[in-house]
Amino acid sequence: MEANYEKLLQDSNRIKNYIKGDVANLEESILTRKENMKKWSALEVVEHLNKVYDVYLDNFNEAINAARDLNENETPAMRRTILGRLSISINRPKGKKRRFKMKTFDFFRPAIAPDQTNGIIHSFLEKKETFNELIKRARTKDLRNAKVPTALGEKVKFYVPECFEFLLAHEERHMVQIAEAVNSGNN
Amino acid sequence: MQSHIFESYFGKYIDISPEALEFLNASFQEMNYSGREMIVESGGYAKYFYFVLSGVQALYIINEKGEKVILGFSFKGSPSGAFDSFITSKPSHFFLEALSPSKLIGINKQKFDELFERFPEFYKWRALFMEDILLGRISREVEITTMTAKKRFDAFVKRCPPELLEIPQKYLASYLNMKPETFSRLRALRD
Repeated sequence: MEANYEKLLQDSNRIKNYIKGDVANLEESILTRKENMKKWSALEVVEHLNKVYDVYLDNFNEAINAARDLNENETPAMRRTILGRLSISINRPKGKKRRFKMKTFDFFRPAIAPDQTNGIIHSFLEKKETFNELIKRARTKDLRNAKVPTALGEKVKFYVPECFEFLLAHEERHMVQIAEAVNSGNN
Repeated sequence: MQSHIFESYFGKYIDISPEALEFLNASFQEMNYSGREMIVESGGYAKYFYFVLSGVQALYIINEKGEKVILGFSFKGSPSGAFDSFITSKPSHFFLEALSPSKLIGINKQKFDELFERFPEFYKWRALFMEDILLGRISREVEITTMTAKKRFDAFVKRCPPELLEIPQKYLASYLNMKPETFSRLRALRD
């Protein structure tokens, strides 16, 4: 019995619990520490993820609102595109290592004013809660043909659950980056 | 509010004083879930210990292949919850899902702990409840590890309440550690 959406929810909760339990309580000096000027601090990574959610959450919401409810005996479908499969695979870290270096788009680049550090993690946790609610709503909807736009290009669209998975693989990659950033002072 | 439920459930184990009954009535709150709604999710927190008033719920975990593995069910009159998280106040490893529209009453951890402080006779219920769970798990382990699929099926049908046989058979098959086709074949033989 497949557990596609449930697996997504479990993975999403793991990331939420890591940020809430292991990152949120760190001192600001650790959260804003940069190994060098080219690298992001942990807080910049979180702000980057906030910007990603700002683009995707509304798209998910729209697709889910437009879908019909599944009947009692229907099973939610999980379809994938070739590009989606590839994007998930490239983003997902192997163990504790990011597999490829990637550059982000300018509109996802974090810019944190010195007086804005407080709300960034709180904002991420709120967006994460919204994301989890969307996964829970999606598992009761017929989304087999529903695609959402991505930031990868005007014509690149992913199926809804596939796009959830893509964002989670992207977040997992950035969790590795956060761990590297907060531990960079220990070397 | 729900006195008869507390009396019929706890009454099997202990005598309940009017004060304890009043406390239980004031501490449990009613909650409704639609079919397929998550009550507790893996990585989330189980905030309540429940009793089921109606509906069927499944407790499951996701294995390494990404499949649901059903560990147990709750139904009318039975306790329910993701006890790993409720007891430890840490994120749960399990999912608890309403398989059909469900009405539950739940007590939060703070009130649950207060119940034992104020009414120590409930420790006896707790010990007996844990014994029931332990004996149930031992019995299930014996069924899973030593019995044929047919014997597991027969043992399950003998003890399960009728409403459980109404849920999709893939859940029952997973609980009995057999393929849905096997479950379907055994059910057809029985019918």
